[in-house]
Amino acid sequence: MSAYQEFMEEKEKLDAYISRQFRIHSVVENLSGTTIELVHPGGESAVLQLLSADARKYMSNLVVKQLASSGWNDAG
Amino acid sequence: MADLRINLAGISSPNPFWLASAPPTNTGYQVQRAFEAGWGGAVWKTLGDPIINTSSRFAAVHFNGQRVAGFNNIELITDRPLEVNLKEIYETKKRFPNHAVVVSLMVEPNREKWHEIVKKVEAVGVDGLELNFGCPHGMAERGMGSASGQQPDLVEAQTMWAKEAAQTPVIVKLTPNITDITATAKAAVRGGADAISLINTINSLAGVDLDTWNTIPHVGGKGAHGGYCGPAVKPIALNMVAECARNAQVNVPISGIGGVSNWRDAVEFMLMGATGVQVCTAAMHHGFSIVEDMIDGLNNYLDEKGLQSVTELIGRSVPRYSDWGDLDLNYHVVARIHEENCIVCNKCHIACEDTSHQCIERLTTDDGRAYLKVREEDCVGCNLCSIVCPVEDAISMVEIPSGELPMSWNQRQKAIASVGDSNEAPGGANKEAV
Repeated sequence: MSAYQEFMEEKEKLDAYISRQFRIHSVVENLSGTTIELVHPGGESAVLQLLSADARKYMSNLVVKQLASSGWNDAG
Repeated sequence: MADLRINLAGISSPNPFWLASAPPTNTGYQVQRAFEAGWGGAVWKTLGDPIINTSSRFAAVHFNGQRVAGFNNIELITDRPLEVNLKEIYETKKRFPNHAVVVSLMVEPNREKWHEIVKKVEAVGVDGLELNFGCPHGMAERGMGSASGQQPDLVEAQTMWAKEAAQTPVIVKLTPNITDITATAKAAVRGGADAISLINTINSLAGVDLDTWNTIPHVGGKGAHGGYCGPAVKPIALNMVAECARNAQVNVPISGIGGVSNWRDAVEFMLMGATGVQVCTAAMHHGFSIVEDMIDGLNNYLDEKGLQSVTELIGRSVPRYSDWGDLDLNYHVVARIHEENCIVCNKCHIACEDTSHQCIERLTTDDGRAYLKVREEDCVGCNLCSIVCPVEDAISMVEIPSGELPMSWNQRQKAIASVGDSNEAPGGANKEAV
């Protein structure tokens, strides 16, 4: 599978959670990639393992946006 | 026509092209001929304690048809008496009062030694001094040159000793044979240096003769490491100049040295923070007259850019040089092959397929014509295809807007570390592995 396809598959999974109002709650990086925990305001949670670099970058952008929406300042 | 004059820590010269301390500046005859040819300044070949040179001193690395891509030498400092050099320095300065005459010095790490030579040299009327803490061969075995230039405390102390006696600006010439050149650059500044110059030569062995098994060069069948310079070292020198230029604690002017061969190289060094440049290998390869093209080329470039003075170039690219962690991860380029210029040599396909990310396909049209196409979605923008392509304008790297705000690795790490803090605890929710 091409790297792009790998990225798209992981992005689709992540987007599906985000579209259902899940928020990224924690991010743990390890040798395999990044494990993220997503939490829904209703209490439901899910764990997603992101392997591709582009998916991990995509997730990082989501984290920055999520933090910005809650008033986080990266200069702080 | 732009103003090419520079002033490096109080040392002025009619243009930014100086000859570096090396064989081309060994005598008054040479330096005066260089000034007649158009060089704006010269750093006199290092004066210091008596030495005896070997025969067989230089070697070169030729690469793919280019003569002298790199140059290696095991020659030491001047082997002429101090008084002879001083007489010629006096005569040269008297004849060329508007040119920069800087004298390179190297003595043992001893306060009195530095005082003695500084006073003697300044007495003949020089514009400045350059302390040679960089020569990596021969003198280093005697505790001088790079041997002392690799130790920040010795750089600082010797600079201070020279400054105690000096009336003219003191430039400290740094060795690249060190992990972090800003460590010694900062030491020079602490010692009172008025400017720094870099880089001196890099420890090297030019080669080994496959027939005789002698080193290149060899002295009667035995070799020793030399100092490497010439076009091959330019990227190393440029980085070191830039690292010093962007370091707030290295707040003195820089004289750029290392593979400067033409006006373009000089402009690059000045954009990365050098006030002027010093040249050696190119002059040894092509003679003093190369400075004419350097001056013409620089003049034309400044006119095209609409700049009134060459000094407007100094440091202009320094703010664009940063740490990897501050680069924008969302910036993205992809390769695009222009079929009208492509000769279908396959170099890009092979390079990408074998050594990069397998995103250039060799395809065939219905009428049997081969062509190459980039799968842009898989292209990481590594540039390799455009580097190996032998045809100008056959491959260009095109920016693909990401639609995201810039995000560096450092910003990302900060955000990742903060994400947990910005959320409430999950409250014992069930976890579903995906």
